[in-house]
Amino acid sequence: MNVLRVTDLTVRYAPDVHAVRDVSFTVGSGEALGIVGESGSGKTALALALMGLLPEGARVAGSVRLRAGELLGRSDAELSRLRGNDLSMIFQDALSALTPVRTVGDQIAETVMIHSGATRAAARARAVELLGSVGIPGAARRARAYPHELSGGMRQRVMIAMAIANEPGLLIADEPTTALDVTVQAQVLDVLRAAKEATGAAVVLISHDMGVVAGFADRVMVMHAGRAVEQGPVEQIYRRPVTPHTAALLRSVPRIGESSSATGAVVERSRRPVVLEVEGLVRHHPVYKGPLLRRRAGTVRAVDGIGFDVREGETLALVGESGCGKTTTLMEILRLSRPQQGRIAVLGHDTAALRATHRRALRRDVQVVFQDPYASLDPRMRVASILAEPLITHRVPPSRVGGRVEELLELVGLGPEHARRFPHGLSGGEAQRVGIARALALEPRLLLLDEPVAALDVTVQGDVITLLEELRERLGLAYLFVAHDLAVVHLIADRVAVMYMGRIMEIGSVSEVYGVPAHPYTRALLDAVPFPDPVLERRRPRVLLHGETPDPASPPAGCRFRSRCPRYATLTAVDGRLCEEHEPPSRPLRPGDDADQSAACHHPLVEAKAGL
Amino acid sequence: MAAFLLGRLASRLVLAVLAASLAYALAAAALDPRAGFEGRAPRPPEAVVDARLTALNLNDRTPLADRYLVWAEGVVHGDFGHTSDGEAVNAELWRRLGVSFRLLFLGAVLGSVLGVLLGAYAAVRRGRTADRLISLGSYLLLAVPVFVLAVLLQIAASRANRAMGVQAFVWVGEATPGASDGVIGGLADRARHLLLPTVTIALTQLGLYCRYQRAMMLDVLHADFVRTARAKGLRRRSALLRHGLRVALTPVTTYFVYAFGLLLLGGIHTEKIFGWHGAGEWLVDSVARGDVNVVAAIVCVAVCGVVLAGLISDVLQGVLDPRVRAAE
Repeated sequence: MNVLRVTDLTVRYAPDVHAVRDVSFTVGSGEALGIVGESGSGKTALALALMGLLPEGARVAGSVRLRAGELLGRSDAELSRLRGNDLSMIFQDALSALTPVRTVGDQIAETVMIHSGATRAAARARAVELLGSVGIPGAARRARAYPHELSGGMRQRVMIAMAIANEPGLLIADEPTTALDVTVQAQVLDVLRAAKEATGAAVVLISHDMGVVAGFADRVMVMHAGRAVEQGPVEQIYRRPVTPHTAALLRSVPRIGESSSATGAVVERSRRPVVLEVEGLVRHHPVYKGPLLRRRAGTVRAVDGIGFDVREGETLALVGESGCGKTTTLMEILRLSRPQQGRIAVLGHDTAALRATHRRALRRDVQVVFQDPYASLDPRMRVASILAEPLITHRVPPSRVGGRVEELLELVGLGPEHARRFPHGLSGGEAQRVGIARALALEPRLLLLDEPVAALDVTVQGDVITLLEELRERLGLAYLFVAHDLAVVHLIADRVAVMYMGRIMEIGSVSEVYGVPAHPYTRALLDAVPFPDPVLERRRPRVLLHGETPDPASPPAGCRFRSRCPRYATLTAVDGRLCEEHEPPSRPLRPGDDADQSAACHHPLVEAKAGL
Repeated sequence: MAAFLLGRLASRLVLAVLAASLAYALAAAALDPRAGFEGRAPRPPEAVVDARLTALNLNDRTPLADRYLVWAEGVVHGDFGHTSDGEAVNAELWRRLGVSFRLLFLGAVLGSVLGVLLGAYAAVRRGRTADRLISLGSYLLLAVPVFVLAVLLQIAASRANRAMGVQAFVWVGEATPGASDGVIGGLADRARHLLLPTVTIALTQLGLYCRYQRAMMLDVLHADFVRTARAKGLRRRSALLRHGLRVALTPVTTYFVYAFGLLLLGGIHTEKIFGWHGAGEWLVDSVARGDVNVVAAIVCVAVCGVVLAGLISDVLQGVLDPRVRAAE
């Protein structure tokens, strides 16, 4: 039986700006429809049109029938009786989608009270029950928490609890896991799946992530420029895409498992010069508390003793969940000054011993590219001025600046016509190219890249990654690449370091770490990455991580990954003692061998050779 | 919450003591009470003037630090000293503060509440006729100084009186002198006198709060959480009232502190124009007379008022926004 039937739905913002054009589809009870497409393809406008929540001034035509009733053209009052009751929606960013000044229990209870007329006490009790059903431990206590007091995963669970409160017939989820780490994403998708089964609701899942949709949807609809270009059963769409848009979308998804295009430099690693060397780096943030005399109440160990080196012509990626210390590490290197503890050497110069003039000179060799290109480029400067600024700062003769700017634009694949534009006149990919050109202006030897493609669409991601690889080869650069997306890292990096709560859990070449992960955390991270193939995604065995990263101010004693470690849970009491009492040092897995994979684990998944 | 407030109170008390001391130092250094005595005819002998000034702790030949210590000791004991006429400052201060309070309170409350409501309404009706009218009105009120507004109101009221042929509007002083029609008649008479000044103060406050609240409300109008509230089944109006307004109110409570300072300043004009003998009028007159102790006392009270307003805004903010509580 069809729960939702959409016929020829069209959404216009201005008379000639079409967000959605002639889209028709149906969703049956208990069925999950995945809607995929790039940003700007009309996915969200479609969802809001179904809910009747489009901004004022939007014109909707066509038909949206929920069960037997037509939704378009109804008044706000009539739709209000349906919203949250028979159709409900899960939004993307739960931090901004929940009211900051009211407790989460209160907000769920409100949904119950609006529609059922239950008493406040009964609604509160139901809210606690719902929080328990979406897997929030200590639901009664958590119901009294405010949104900012919960983690990202918990907040998204609250959104789900709120959406299923009145057992709706149709559930619309708009990018429900986009802001989350892969490990938490897997948990939240499980909750959503369970909620779907418990309520028997029809689900519309909107996502840009082909992997997420592959694992969740029964049928898929592909959108491009407001049109539904293709729809059908999930296997058919992924295995035998008909339209070029679908094929392009599938092709651009970075996959783990395919051979990495990063071939590495021709010269053997040990013979290439070291560009960056980090040893025992520590960055602790003190936490103060107290009303009058502020006492030091603890320490957040953002980076807690890590070491690695980056050699010329290679890319080292730092990966891990948010808050693991990746970006802090990058910023510590970028400061070029004495770290709290440990040692940083850039091109052989110890940063602690640098004088001001020398530090300034060294800044030319170390440059950075940030995640959000729009936020990191001054909106009031033209592209030409943005590119000229570092040159002028470092006293390049004015006569040569103009020529260099053109050179840089060409280097990153932009034309001279881009020089006159402002950042807001550029697409996301173009803006990030400007960010890269700015970083290259002074011919650096080490580039620090902080999630450079995370804010871009998948199709654009591929182009920027290719550009970065070309530049590395042509200019002999070394990259330190921070990312949370393991598939992207697989594509670009030669070596990878997996971080957890300020420590490196495992480090080694990409083929080793991805092929034979030694640390249980690496294994779990890789398992959590959704695979863009419906059959493989549903069949493969995987180890899911439970819970979330512990409070960084008080990590567990011994091995800090212990509280979530699937391996530790299976150990005997005797074997487990080691994990509880001793922090595992990073040990090479195959000493003497040419490979250099090391893991910080007492019980690695691949047993170390040579009796270690 | 208690610890949070205690912390804020302590830091604000330090601020208040500093501000009051600086105010005294400034008044004592800049004002010249001696001139007032010497200007009397017949001119008193210098020794007499000196003795009189010393008795009142106003003698500019005593080092400033010594005068400050005497003054501070008095203030700690709740005594603001004497006016240059030898009267106790305290009694007159409380009487005048009472007058000012009766004059300003109603207008201030009315102005801020109406301003917040009008501003929120204008934001919701953004771009429509109601919003344009409200915006135009509030800009007009902001552009007109309080003394112009007060005088315009008086002119309008006197025209209305003439047109109606009865004295419906009265605005000079707090009450009609000598008229005694019992308790109810007295109160009605006072209310009649209060009408015009209250309208004046309310209008000046309203313009400011209206602009501010409109901007805050526009921010939350399209906020994700308001959309979530509507997705739950709340209608637009209730979603905005229950989820939007509270978030949009929080920054206005901070603004309250600054508006309080403006209100005190605005009060001076209103008192002068409507012939109320309040604290603002006294301050202006005392500056002209070089009456150091009175000036210092009024500034002291004003400082305490601002600190108190700040504390109230802290409490309101803590109550309205749990994130503020967590930050401590």
